[in-house]
Order: sequence, then C-alpha cells, then structure tokens
Amino acid sequence: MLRLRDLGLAVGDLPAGPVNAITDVEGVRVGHAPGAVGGITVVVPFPGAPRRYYAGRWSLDGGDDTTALAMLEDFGTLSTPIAMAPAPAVGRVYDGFLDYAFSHDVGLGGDEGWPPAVIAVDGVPAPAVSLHAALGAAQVAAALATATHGAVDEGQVGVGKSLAAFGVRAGIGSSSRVVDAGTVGVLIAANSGEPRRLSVNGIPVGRWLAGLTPLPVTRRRAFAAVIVTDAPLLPGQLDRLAQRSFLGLVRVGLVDEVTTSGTIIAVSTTGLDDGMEGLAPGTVTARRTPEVSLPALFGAGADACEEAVLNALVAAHNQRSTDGVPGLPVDAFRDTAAR
Amino acid sequence: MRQAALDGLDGDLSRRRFLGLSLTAAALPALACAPGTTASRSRGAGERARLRDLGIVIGDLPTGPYNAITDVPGVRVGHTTLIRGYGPLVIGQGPVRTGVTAILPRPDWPWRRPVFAADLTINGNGEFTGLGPVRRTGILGGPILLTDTGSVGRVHDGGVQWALARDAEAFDGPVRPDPVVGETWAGYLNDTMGRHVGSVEVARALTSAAAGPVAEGCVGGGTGMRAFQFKAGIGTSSRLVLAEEENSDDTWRVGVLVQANLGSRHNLMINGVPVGIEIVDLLPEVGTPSEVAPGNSLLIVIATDAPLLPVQLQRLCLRSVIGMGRTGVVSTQGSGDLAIAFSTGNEVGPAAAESLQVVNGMSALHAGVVEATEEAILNSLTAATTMEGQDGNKIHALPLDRLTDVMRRFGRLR
Repeated sequence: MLRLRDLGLAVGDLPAGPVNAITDVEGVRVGHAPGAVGGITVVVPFPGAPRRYYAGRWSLDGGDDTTALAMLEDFGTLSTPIAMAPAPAVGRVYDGFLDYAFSHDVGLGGDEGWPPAVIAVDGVPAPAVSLHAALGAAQVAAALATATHGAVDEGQVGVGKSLAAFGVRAGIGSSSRVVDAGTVGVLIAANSGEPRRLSVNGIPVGRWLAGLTPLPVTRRRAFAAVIVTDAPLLPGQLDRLAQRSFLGLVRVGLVDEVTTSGTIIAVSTTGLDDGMEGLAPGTVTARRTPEVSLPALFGAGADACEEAVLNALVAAHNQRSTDGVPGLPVDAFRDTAAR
Repeated sequence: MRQAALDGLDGDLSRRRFLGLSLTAAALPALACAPGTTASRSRGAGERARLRDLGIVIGDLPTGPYNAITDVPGVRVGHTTLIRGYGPLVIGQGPVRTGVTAILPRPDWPWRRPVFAADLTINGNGEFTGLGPVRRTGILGGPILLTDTGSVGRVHDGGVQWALARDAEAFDGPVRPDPVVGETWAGYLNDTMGRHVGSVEVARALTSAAAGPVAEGCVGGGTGMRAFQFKAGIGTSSRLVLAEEENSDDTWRVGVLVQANLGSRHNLMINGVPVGIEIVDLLPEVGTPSEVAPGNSLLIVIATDAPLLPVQLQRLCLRSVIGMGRTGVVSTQGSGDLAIAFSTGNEVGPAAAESLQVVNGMSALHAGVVEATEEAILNSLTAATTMEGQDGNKIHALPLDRLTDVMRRFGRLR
C-alpha cells in the first residue's frame, strides 16, 4: 500500500508519529470489515474494556445520522468504539454492537458502555437496499475482532469501499502529528471534493493536474472523521479540536460549497480518569490542557486531516473498484505537487 | 429491603444493567413462555380512564376533538404491542413487554412530503437517532419510532426497510428518510436484551398508523414503561389555540405524545396536588430477585399545524420542559429526556414555495405545549394497567378511585 510520504511528499512541518496513523495514540485500534457491498470501520479509542471517555463533535451544518448524540452533547462522553457505516446500515450496525456485547463484551451493553456510537457516511455509491442488507452484526464482530494497533489499512477498505474524492478513488485515510502537548491522530472516510480544489501544501494540484473528472453532480458528497488525542482535553476543548482540525479538510479541498454533509468526532484518551461508571454518584478526575497549548493541537489536527485525505487517495490509486471511478495518477500527482 | 434499594436507585442510577442481569438469567433453565396477554389483576386497575374524564382538567385551553396528537390534521399514530410470557427472564424468549409506536406527520411518505422539525436534549442519557439531517436541514423526512432501549438498532433497521420497500431511491433524494428512533428502558418488565421489536413490528405500526383516537398506556413503545413507580407508557393530549393574528379567527392545533418512563413516586404532582405523597403504597413489587432497576426517561413528540420555522419549533421543545416539570420531575442523571417538534403548517419539500407564511406571536402555542405535555404524561398513567413481567416483577396501575379522592380533598376535582 502506497502512502503520501512514499511519494516524497508530506503535509506541513510537524513530525508524524511512528506509523503516521490514528493508532499512534497509545491504546487506539482500528478495524475494518467488508460486506458484500460497502463495509464498516471501527475506531476503538480505549485500551481493554469499554470505558467512558470525553468526546466532542463538529459537523458541517448538522452532519448525518449520528447515534449516541444526546449522550455526546449533553454529557460530553462516549463509551463504546466508534463505528462508521453507510447511512442505511446505521441501525443494523448499532444492533450489531449489542450482539457483540452479548457474545463478547458485557460492558458494551451495560451502563458503562451504552449507547453505541455510529456515524453515518453518506453518499456511498451503492443501492441503499443492498448496503442495508449487506452490513450488520457480522461486520461489527469482524471489525472489532480484527481491530489492531499499528499500521492502518487505507483506501477502499471498510466503510471506505467505493468512496471517491476529487473524481478519483478515495476512502479511508489516516495520519498523525506529535506536538509537545500530545499526539493527535486522524482517521477519515473521504467521499467529497471537487478536482479543481485538490491542494497539497497550498499548491493547487487539482488545477494543474490533467484528467481528473468531477463526479456526477447528483452524487452526495460527505465525509466522516474520528480524531483521537492523548492530550487531556475536556469535552468543550474536544469540540474545538474537531472544528479546528476541519480547517485541514478545507485546505486540502475536500470540503467546499457543494459538500453535502460531514461529521468529526474528537476524543481524548486521558481527559477523563476512572470513567467506568459515568452515571454513578461521586466525583471523577477530569484533566484539561491549558489554553496556551491548544493551538499546537489544533494545528496538528488540521495537518493530520489534510494528510489523511491525501493518504486515502494515494492508497486507493491502484486498488480495485467496482464502479469504474479511476485512481489517482500518482506519478503526475507527485510531479505536480513537488513543483 | 429490596424495595428500599429500588427506591434509592430509582432516581439516578443504573438505567441499563441489562447484560449484568442477562448473564445471570441466561444460566437459568429455560421455561416455556405461554403466549397471552397480561390480565389486570390488582386493585385499582379495573376500568381505566383519561385524566379529563375523571374531572381533572389541566389548564384552561380547549382540547381538540380527540385530545390527542392526531388532532393536528394529517398526523397519524400506530402501535405494535408485544406482550407474551411470564416468569424468569430467558434472553430471546421473554417475558416480552414491549413494542413500537410510530408517528407520521402527514398521510404521505415522509421523505416525499417532509416537515420542518427541531429537537431538544433535556437530559442526554438516551437515544434519538436520525437527528443529524434534522439539524442540518431543519427538515424531518423519516418516521418517528418510539421503542424500548434494546430494540433501537432493529427498529431503525425496520424504519429503513419500510422506506426502501416503498421507494428504493428514498436515500438518494434531497430529503433524508433516516428514522428518528427514540427509546426508554423497559428492562424491569421486559426482556430488553432479547430485542423483540424488529422490522415486522415496525412495518405493522407504520402501516396501521391512523388519524383519530390514540390508544394509551401499555401500548406500542410504552408497553413496558412506568412513571412515578406506577405503570405508565404512551399518553397524548392536544390544545386548540387562537392564531395571534389581527382580524383572524384561525385556530391552531398543537398535540403532544409522550412515552413516559420517568419520576419517583414522591415527585408526582397532578394539577398542583402532591399526589405522590398522598398515595405512597402500591410501589413496584420485585418477584425473583433482580438487578434491574426501573427506568427514568421521557420522550416527547410535539406536532402543530401552526406554520413554524425550525428555530421556532425549538422554542416549543423548550416549553415542553415546563409541562414536564409540572408533573414534579427534575430530569435526573440517568434520564434520557428528549423532545422533537414538527410543524405541518408549511410545505417544505424540494418543490415548496420560496415564500413561507410563519407565525410571529407564539405565546398561545407555548401555553398549549405546556398544558398538553403535562396532560399527556398524566394520561399515560390513568390509561395504563397493572403489569407483571420479567422475574415476576410487578408494577401497579395508579388507582383512579384513590386519585379522585385525593383531588377532591384538595378541592381540585371538577
């Protein structure tokens, strides 16, 4: 699998983590599972058993179907792995979490785990009937069972299957940055972006690179992303991290005026200590990062978002696609971006 | 002792320990679950009534003809109710005390003829799916489905299947059909982890959705619910308000439907009377020792034909909290208290006119929502019958004769 840095390119000046992926944040795992059509991707932001963690959200306008929204916005917490799934399959994936709780992981269904967090990825180019039928408990179990630390599969994998951006195959991309305040990792499902907006480090690659054809105007353009950091952030700070990281998606050109929708959930693995029983009486220890350190995290999130999108394009360039969308011409892309 | 423990838990803790219980119960020998319905056997659970029929009248605004959310023209409600089995919990078998309640804003597929909508999280330990598109566009294009906690995913799936069976391209149009699925916790009576509500039940509720009178109490999503430690479930009410326009005799209708699963006994206030400290017995009875505590949540659905924008519907959601508060509850840490409001007063689909007439003065609508929310919650109590469920756990109905006695003593019975 090819990545942006294999082409001699990188976004920004900040150092990436060891595998340049969301899994550079300690304890974080990623799993993908395909269906006959489409697929799902899970991010497990905590080590071991389910535990409550602080989370924030930013969405373009209002995003797409997002479960656990009331919990996320009112308590600022989530407590399950975060799944990304095509919109018609959200209910079946949600239900798949309960199946998994029953067979593998009791805490997921109890007070310390509920409710399941599922973000819809809109515009997956397959009939809704097929997507709906193809995804459910089996994919949830497979994605959770195979979720691993280390390098993350990118491109046309998991929920990234058959996603496109900038007129070429895209899908899942990941990247990370390390700053003094902590590590910030991003995983995105990229399914939007007009060719003429594609930009790398401010270079308007999309205008100079010949042969990129916009996707049909009828195709919905959306994205979903998960950001994880080991910097201790409170829920409000995580809302801001999600929003500021979004600026990286604007820079790379993934988001513009025709983008339909998108959601970013940002979580901190260290903000909430002892979060096992989030509804119990008593106190918990909440940890925050001082205001002065936040801009560095925001910048890290934006750079990682930008590079994650480009990683999706580069990884998918030679991967199979069922719907005839071409791959990124990586040689011409490298030559243009390196000008 | 057990009861004391339950009382302590009731307010704040442990809405959902379903797996902690499930594994214990799963080890029990499976008992045959005889199909059938739960008979009302306890005192006070005989003839049920609506609050107003008892001579208890909330507020001073007139109700619509059905005193129900269906007084808003075009709004339809359907229930699928599942009641089967007695005895120890056997996951996947029962006892089953659940169902689903479907609300359709108009007599058309919602994604083809959508409505303006807005939501409010009052306390967030709950679930309403499908709100992303509602917030993004201010438009509701899916059905509203109320069920019990474990069944959320399957009911969402059922809503998707229902939409796709009618229109394979439902997800490809400009208005999203994502189902708005809400839940409250019926685990004290119901095999929640068995997730008994699926696509068949959802389709039945949606296809049977009708205008006119609405069944209340132990029906649909409210089947296994309880409020103020009495049996509760679905309740509804409506108000007619005069349009605040000069030289207009127009009337607007505002209707509320709730799935009530909230409150401790001592909270209960009816029309200003502290009924919960007057009727202190008939608390939930625990059969086989169970780790499951009662639930503690409220789902509120508000409908109006007053032409309102989403930002104004948000204000109606806020007013429903006042009606909720008048029943004495405080919305505790463990609650999923969630509201959604929609208006049928304008066509808002892709082909809608660019210019909309919208309400300016809203005070009368505020009053209507407050009164209808309070009465809907109380109607769920007066309609529901005593129910025995999982492990022999039993929740008593609010005794209507004693309720009217209390109200009479306080001089609040008409």
